[in-house]
Amino acid sequence: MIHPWRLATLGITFLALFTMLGVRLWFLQVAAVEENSAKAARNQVQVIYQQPARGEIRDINGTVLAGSRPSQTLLLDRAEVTTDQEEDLVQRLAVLLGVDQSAIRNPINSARSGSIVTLARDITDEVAFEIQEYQDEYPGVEVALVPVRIYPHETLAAHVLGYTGRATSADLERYSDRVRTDEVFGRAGVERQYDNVLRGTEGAEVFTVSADRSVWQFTDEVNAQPGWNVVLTIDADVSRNLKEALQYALDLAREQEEEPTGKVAGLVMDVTDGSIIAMESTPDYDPNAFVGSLSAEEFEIIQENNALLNLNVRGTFAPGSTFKAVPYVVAVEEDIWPEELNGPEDGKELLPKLEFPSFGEGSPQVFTDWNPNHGWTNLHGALIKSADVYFWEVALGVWEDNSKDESIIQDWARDLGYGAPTGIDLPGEAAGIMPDREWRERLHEQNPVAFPNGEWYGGDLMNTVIGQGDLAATPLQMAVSYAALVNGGTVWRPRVVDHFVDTDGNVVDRREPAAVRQVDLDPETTAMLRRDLAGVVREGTAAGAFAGSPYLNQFGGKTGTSQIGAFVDDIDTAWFAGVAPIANPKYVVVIVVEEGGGGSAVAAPAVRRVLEYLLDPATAPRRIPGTEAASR
Amino acid sequence: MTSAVIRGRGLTASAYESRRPDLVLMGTLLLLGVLSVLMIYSASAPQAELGGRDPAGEAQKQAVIVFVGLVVFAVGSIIEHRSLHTAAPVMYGAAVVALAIVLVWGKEVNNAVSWFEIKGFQFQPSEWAKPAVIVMLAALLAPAVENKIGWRRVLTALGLMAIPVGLIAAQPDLGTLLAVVALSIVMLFAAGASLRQLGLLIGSSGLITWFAYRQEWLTLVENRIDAWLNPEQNALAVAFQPLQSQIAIGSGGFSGRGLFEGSQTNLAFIPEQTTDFIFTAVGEQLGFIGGALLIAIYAVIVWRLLRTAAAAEDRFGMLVAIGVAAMLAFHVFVNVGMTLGIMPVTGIPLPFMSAGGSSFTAMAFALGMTHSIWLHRSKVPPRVSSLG
Repeated sequence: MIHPWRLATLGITFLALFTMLGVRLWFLQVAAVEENSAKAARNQVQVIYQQPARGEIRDINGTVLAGSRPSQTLLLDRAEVTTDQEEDLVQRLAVLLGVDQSAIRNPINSARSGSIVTLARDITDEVAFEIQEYQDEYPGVEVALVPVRIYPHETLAAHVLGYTGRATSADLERYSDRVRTDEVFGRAGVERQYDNVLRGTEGAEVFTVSADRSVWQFTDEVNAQPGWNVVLTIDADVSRNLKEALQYALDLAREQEEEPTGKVAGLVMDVTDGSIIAMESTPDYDPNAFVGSLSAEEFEIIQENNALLNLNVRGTFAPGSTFKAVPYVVAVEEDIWPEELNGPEDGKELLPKLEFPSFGEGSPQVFTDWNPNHGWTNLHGALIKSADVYFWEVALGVWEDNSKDESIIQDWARDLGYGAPTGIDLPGEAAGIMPDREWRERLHEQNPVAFPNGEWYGGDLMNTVIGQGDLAATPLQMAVSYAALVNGGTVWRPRVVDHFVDTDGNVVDRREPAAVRQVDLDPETTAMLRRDLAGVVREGTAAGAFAGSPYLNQFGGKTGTSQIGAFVDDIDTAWFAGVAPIANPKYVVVIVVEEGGGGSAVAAPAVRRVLEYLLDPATAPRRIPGTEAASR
Repeated sequence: MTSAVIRGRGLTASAYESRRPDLVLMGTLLLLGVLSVLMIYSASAPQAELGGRDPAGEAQKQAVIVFVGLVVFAVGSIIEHRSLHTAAPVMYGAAVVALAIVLVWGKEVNNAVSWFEIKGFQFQPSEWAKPAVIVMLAALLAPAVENKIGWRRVLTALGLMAIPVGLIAAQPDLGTLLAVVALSIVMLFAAGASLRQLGLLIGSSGLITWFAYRQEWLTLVENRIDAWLNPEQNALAVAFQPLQSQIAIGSGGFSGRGLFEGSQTNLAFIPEQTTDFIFTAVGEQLGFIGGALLIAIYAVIVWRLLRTAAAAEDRFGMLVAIGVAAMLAFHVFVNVGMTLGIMPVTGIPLPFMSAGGSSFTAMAFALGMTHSIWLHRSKVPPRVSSLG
């Protein structure tokens, strides 16, 4: 059967294995315990987590917009102290730091028992020395150099960068025990969008410690992996110029005795690849304010001013006449002309008023142009002089021609980027509204009380073509659509991040330019539009604002003045969308001043400043985003 | 044929009735079952209570499993092992099919697809694959001759082993994979393979292990990337588990912290304390005395199995007993060794102790098979020469 030596071999092998287990067990439970019985009744593992260094955020030229600095920080390990000791510490530390007791007690109370709490940041050397010198009197208290987020340029590009904050109770809930209360999360902007990339991976040192918490043995170590640096398409210098331009626009509005709400938004986009070169929004905030502990009142003030809102992405406004570039293109491409006319060159005397049974039966409505004396006008003149009547007649052409799709203009607008998020890599983007019959009916069906009107009339379409009525767009959508109109039809997915760099300076990943779609646009239409946009700044509604500019022949643009509600006179939101160089477009600049008055008087001069800055050889952007690796 | 003579002799009814059951083996099994329920209660109750669940819930479940396991053991004891010999290809085929099915319809738990669920009952085919492989290899190797096993038979054995091993590697379940490889080599050794053949086998299984590690290494890299993308799922716990386990066992000392004591402290930090790390609870609460006694109980079982092998009526029975002994010894050594920090963490259960039905019943059936061999052993210890 089985050979005896084989059976014996197996028996001995199995016995040896079991004996090994017994010996190891003896070693762990008897020999080692005796060895350490004087030191500790029980051994325990202590884990010291290492927070990874958060990646930096830089502009396209390598300027650090968000970095880290070491801060002398006072920490309390709650696992080491009793509740009585904690209360005693609160009182003595408050005296030592010269702060109110609540400033020490609040962070402790909001942390879980057993966790490590940040008591105070940026403590003085004297305080640090006192604590370290008399360590026995401050059980569980530790001074550590903790990296703290710093935004060296304060409010500059704040809405793009976002800010960081401590974990909220919701975060703690979500990540359960993997997160400690002192961990930092990206809360808005790039900090939030790319939090995973910036944050890195946490490390840990594992110690075996005795009951009195002295380290007995260093056991294991997992190194923290620092986050990647994020390099933006943003140019800090252009951003600074844009920021000044927004303030300039606000000042102009106040000079005109308008009462602007203070909300101003502006951005510069590269029409050749969709990268955002600058994006500023007013009111703004200093992201450094969120690094320490922000008091409830401070946060309230920021909230109340809506300072956290990136209006370029999250603010929607009626676009007014800046929208006319869309019906302009539709007229040419779809061959839709006002009555009696047959083409772009064909013109007629425009009447100042247009009567139309526009909003249902028996209620004829008189549409009045903002300018009663347009005189003889063709398509070019209509855009240059921003003639409402011409575009109303285009709308009527669509409305009354049964062979045309009723929403043909809106469909074009949607293709050009209106009515849906553009897909920019920033959180919380608004969709805007591109109204048509279907939209109106859907709203009415969903909530007949709030939206009693479920009908769509010709008058609605007439309001839409001049950028009024229910139409609402973000400044970013405006920039994306203008970029597409002047670049030959490419609708870009705008982006603020260009590439990622690891700690060794290697480019690890890139966000390549991406087109959402290509709109089928005749090159001649694009060329015609560019000529007429140039006409606006030379002889049209923006001629005053651009008069005397050394680069006048390189600019193009369109003004917009949108009324706020039908019954309030003289409260207008000012828009301007500018393009340069108009013969071979590179930049589009959009500025909106809420309730700031006329686009030509308020927004256009501000855009002019930015366009001149972009074309001036002394100040023009040094690097073209997306073409080469910036900095190290 | 000599075996026919032996078979003929064993068939007399009186010969079977004269064999007394192995009371020591049955006693140890019962002891382990009771201890398993106790330790699972002690390791799970505090956390269940905290979570608002029935503190005795897991222990009750295990009690049912132990009862079912004892029934399975009894059934295994009754089945005449020669029927097993005939049924070996069927068992083996069923195991392979089940292993293939689990890869398709199985549930993924802890990055491995090793379970599927039928009407609320979880079933882990790899546990049953082990006894199936044992029976199949025993049937294949039974007609062989000491030191004269043909290469063809060895290669067939290798092939039969490789199919389930490959399927288990795909789950992936490194512990079970190594268990199957180890018991196969031990069975070939017992069957009389030459040292040269064994050398080749160990070499090739080393290669397979290397491949398995590569597999594991690849998944580890993926996990790293996952951890980077989802920092909250940090993999640090992998390093802590054995460390915490050793410290918990160390804190038990010579006589332990006492049954039901200590679960609030260290044990609460040990994941899978009712399954793969159940020995930690034993070590902490029952100390060196309890831990050593438990190891001794396993040694007793292995001894009874080797004794069964020596007394077996035929080579098939002998090989089954050796295979089961090897499987048991491997499981105990790797599992306990893992909690003591001398073996790497591979998820294999501690036989008859870890919570879970598949492991308990499969092991009980394997033990039942050998008990049946013991019951049907030849009266006169066979002489080696009679096998010629």
